[in-house]
Amino acid sequence: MSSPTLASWRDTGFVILIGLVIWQLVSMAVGAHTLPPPLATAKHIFVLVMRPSFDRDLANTAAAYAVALAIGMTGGLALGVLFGGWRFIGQSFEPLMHLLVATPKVTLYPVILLLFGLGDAAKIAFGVLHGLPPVAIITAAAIGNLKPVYRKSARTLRLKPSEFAWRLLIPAVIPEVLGAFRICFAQALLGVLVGEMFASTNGIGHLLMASIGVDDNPTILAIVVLVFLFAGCGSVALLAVTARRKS
Amino acid sequence: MGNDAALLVESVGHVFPAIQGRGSVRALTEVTMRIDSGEFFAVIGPSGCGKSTLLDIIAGLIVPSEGRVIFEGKLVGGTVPEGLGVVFQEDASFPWLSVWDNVAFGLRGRKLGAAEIRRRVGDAVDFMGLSEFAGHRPSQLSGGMRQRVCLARTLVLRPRLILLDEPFAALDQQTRLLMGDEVLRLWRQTSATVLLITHSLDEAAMLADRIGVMSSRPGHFVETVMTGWHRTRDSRVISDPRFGDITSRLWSKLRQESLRAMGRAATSSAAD
Ligand SMILES: Nc1ncnc2c1ncn2[C@@H]1O[C@H](COP(=O)(O)OP(=O)(O)OP(=O)(O)O)[C@@H](O)[C@H]1O
Ligand SMILES: [Mg+2]
Repeated sequence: MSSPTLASWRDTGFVILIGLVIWQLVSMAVGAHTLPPPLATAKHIFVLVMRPSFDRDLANTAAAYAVALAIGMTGGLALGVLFGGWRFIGQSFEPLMHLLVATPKVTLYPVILLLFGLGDAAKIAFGVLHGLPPVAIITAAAIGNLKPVYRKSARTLRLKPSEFAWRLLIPAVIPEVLGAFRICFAQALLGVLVGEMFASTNGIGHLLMASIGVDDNPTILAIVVLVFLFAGCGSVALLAVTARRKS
Repeated sequence: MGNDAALLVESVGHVFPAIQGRGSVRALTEVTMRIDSGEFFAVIGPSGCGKSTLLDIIAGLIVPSEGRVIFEGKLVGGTVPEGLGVVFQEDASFPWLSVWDNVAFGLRGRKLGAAEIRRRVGDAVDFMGLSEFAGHRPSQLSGGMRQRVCLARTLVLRPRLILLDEPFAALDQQTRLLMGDEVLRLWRQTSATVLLITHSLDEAAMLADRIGVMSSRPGHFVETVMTGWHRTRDSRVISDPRFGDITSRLWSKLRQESLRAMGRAATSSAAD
């Protein structure tokens, strides 16, 4: 199956190329100061990454992101199992999760700041706030939507409850849960960065906020591109994991 | 009563309780039947008359509101008894497993050696004509082949009573006749008792020793027809003159019940 993969890589490359061309054209139209062109941005990314303080910011963000991701995934999974497996719990608490997804998170920022203060805990909390609810909701839905005939089959095949969980329920819901993890991956990153912008004195998000403050467009753009690349690569990697399971 | 009744169903009735604005539904009333050990019994009835509900009750998946079910002398209630296998109306193959692993599913986690599992699965896969596809995923198979996977998955457990709920409903007529032959072969070779639910007159008339005709909902048996076929029969019995007699007798009963079922559907939808 090498040719379809090759074709999809070619398509992706083509899309990226078109994006770069449009970027260059817009940059020429609005001026290099307002929107630095691709090549200048690439150079600036190099300069930025070489800055000694960048490593520290990156490490700060990475640590907070790792923790937020871990809590978002495991916590979301645990809550999803709870909501999907025990209907009365789901019926009372799932609406809360939906509310959390539906409300603009900005409205909750003051609450988070009050609870956690400025610092690492707050930005992790922001990450979890963004990343956890989708995992909980999607997992609960996947468990609730399990085909009824699977439950019947489990009983006629005389599975024990633990066997039902490990050998039937989990494999049946894994595709949906992996999809939820992909959403969590992007959302938790967004949450941590936003948290750093408003509630932190270090990290990539803080660097971004500082650059916005001094109108440093090249740095702003360089950070945006870096984050975009990271999120894109992560998403592709997670997609590859999902695809391998299917084949 | 003889002592080799595989299955006794005694005055079973079932009402599904009302949920979320929908009234309660009486699916079955006063269902009584007896299937002897090694017998092939078919149940036919109009759509929605409670056939699948009856099967769920016999399998121990639903506890009936009235009456009782006795399998090999023991009361069935709440759990699926050992020695009973079911193939459902819906596709129950597991898409994340290969055909081979689907068939082996119920054997894993039992106290059986790897060699014994391999032998049994190999036999069942061969028997169902799936050897070429052992490594395939269900998504790569046709609906009929997926049902054969489910049949094989049940077979490896060596059930003494096999319940089949319209397993071939989605297949074309020719494939159905051939699958019928497979089921007959399986029945002879395993000497299991078979209860087949179907809405096909031909299928019932060709496969069964006895056929129970169910009424429209709430379902109960309105007639039982003996076919008198020899144990070594196959799909060629459809050209036997007696085959026509059996199907026309079944149809004369079923026609009234089906009309009643349709009439009821028409009036209730008119009333909405
Ligand atoms: N879980 C349930 N809750 C409420 N009503 C149900 C439930 N399951 C089945 N019914 C109702 O009970 C009646 C009998 O259903 P059942 O599935 O047993 O019919 P059937 O004879 O198998 O139909 P078909 O030929 O379409 O398979 C139907 O009216 C159906 O709507
Ligand atoms: Mg049915």
